[in-house]
Amino acid sequence: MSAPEQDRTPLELSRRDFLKRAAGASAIALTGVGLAAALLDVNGPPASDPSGPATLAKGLGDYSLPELRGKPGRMAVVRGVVRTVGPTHPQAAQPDRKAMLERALAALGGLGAFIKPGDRVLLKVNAAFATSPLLGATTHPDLVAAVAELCLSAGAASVSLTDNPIHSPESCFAISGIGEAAAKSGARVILPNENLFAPVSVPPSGNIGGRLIRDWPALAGAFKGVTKLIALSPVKDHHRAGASMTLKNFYGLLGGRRNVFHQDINGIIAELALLVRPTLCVLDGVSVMLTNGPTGGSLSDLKAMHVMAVSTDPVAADSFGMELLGRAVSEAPYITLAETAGAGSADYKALNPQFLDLGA
Amino acid sequence: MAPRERTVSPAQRNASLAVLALVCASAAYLLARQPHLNPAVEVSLRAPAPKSGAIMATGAAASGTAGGLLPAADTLATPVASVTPVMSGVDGAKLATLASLLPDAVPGPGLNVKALAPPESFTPDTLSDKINGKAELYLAAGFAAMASRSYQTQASPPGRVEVYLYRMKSPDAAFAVFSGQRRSGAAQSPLAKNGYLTENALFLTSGLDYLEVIGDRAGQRPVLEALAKAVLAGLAPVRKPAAGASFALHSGVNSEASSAVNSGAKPAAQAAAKPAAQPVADLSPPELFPVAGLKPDSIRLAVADAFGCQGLTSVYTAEYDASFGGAAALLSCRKDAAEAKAQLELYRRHLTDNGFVAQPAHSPQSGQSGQAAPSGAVVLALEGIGVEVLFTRGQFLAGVHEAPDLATALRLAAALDSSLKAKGLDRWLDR
Repeated sequence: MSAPEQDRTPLELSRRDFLKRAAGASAIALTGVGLAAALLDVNGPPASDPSGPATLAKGLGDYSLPELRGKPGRMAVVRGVVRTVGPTHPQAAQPDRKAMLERALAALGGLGAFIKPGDRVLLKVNAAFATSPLLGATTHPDLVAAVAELCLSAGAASVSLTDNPIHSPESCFAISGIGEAAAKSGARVILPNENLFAPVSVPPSGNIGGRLIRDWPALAGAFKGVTKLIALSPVKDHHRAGASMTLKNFYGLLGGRRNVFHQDINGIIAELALLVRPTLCVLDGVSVMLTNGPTGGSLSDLKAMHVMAVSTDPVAADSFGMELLGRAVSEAPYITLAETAGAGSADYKALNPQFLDLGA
Repeated sequence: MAPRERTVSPAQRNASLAVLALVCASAAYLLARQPHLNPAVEVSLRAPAPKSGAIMATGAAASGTAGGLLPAADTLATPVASVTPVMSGVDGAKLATLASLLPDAVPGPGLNVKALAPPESFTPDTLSDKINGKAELYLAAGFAAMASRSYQTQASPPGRVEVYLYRMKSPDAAFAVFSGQRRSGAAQSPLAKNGYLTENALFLTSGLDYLEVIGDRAGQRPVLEALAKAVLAGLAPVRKPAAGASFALHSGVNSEASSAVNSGAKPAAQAAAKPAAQPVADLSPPELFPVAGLKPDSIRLAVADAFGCQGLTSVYTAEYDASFGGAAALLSCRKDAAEAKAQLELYRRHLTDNGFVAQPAHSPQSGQSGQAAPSGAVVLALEGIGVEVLFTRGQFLAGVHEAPDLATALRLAAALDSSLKAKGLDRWLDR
């Protein structure tokens, strides 16, 4: 190799060339890092419709009446009567849920106090299982139809309902009778399609929140445009949680492999109380599942109690439900946890509920 | 002129290495960060298969035959196919075997039962997708797999029946989930020793399997039994045999004897159910509970965390009637005497940690009642909750749970101790 060729070896860089090349490489590297950092979405997309009601940070929203926020909730409890003469089994002869609901709502100022003309109402039902409504594991279709009809009569622009049973939602809505009730009453069933899920987080409140539901997929798409939320829940024993009522019903708003939360069932249900604040909660204690919940399976798991509670406070509703189950509030620790987090009152009597009896 | 010799100075080399290190660090950061862009994305990727039809047309999909209780078969078929777990290897084969036990149809006069959809299969990872919070009951007991299937009956009016076949890891586990959910006052099923019928459902165990046949209304007993028979017919060839003496010793589900007790059969029948001169290794806890005052169908098995005590496992309980104040007796067959004592100590600590206070085994109260505690017994009480008595006899942990008062607790403990001695267990102490 000749000397001039040796002169052109890469080692023979001038200081100026070296600095230029080093500066260029650094600029490229830094640009790449900067671009990646700029594209990194640490928080994830917003879960709630920005044009909708006030949101709980990135929760699913606060649909409670503004005038009631920070104040004691309202509650009415109705005992129904069976007027028909028929089969003696409690599941075959049940009181008129619509009449019970109307009576309770009337005591709270009528549905018009909660649903305004033009409201877009979402009903959160419990459609967790593909079982007959007679088995009491899901929201009763008569209640779904009654609430939907009353909302539409009050001027609601639309009524939709949803739940995420994970397994075979179509079957769950069909066999539970909820789908048919929706069809008859003019409500729309929103099945939990994957594209309706978005990551949400629950902000800390007290000792609750910010721990379990963090960037977790929730059924946010079902809330698009929604202005009012009504939870319709049966009263059930629950093997893991002690009881399944209003707050546990919100478990059906979560997606993903949510069964991991069963390891901290009280913690997750307490966070659900912060995930979304309903306008109204209807707790259906007409037929209460006292044992072998949440699935039940035998009619002997049920007890006819013919009671329905309507409350603006989901925590208070659940504390009343514990009475129907014949249990202390302490047997469902999530109720007290939810109260501690400011989601409601674990002492339903503090709401001065009105007790009504259709048989009186 | 000869070219000037140019070399890379140490400073230049170091600067180059620094730039390279920066580039490498940036690449490493990106590689490390990329898989963790957003936890929710990961979770979403692990979510169940997409569900068809975001918005169900009101009426069409919801409407079925017979007043909406019976959806069209095709409504069910699609999601079934989409969510049945995809398994491979041994697990997949097990699931396929289990699902194949659920028949396509059960013909018969007045029955004409036909499946509405293919069977569905569930693993420990997916069980909660089907039965939600109750999955924990099965998982804690020892769950292997589950298959379920929906059927339509042609009775008038048509009905719907669901069959759930749970394959558990042991007969113990099957008995645990069976007894843990037992509905009191139900009728004994003629199909199985551990079986009963309610108004709308049939529940039974067979070896490793726990079967539920659930109708959507009362009065379908012929259909429930026909379906159960069809499933049982398929179970027999695949049922795993009990694991010999160790099964009898540790599982305790001696179906003959325990069922005789559970079904409320007369003592004579129970005696007949037991072979004479049983070796101790063949004895199982359900056989050892004293019969007098025993509530029918009340024997239960807690496989894990009995009485809320973490680590206390395989504990049988038997409830007694008002003659014993509604108290329960407990028995647990352990590997050896040392383990029995260790379990006793574990539960004793659990009780004292929760406020129970030790009582003298020969307290004045026991003297007044004329009943002393069994030898070596630990007696603890908590006002408002009850009295607990714990003792060991050889490899058995025995005791009384939640007796209303000390006298009643000691009386039931003595009866249990006598029963153990009558079975010859006193000759096996500390072996």
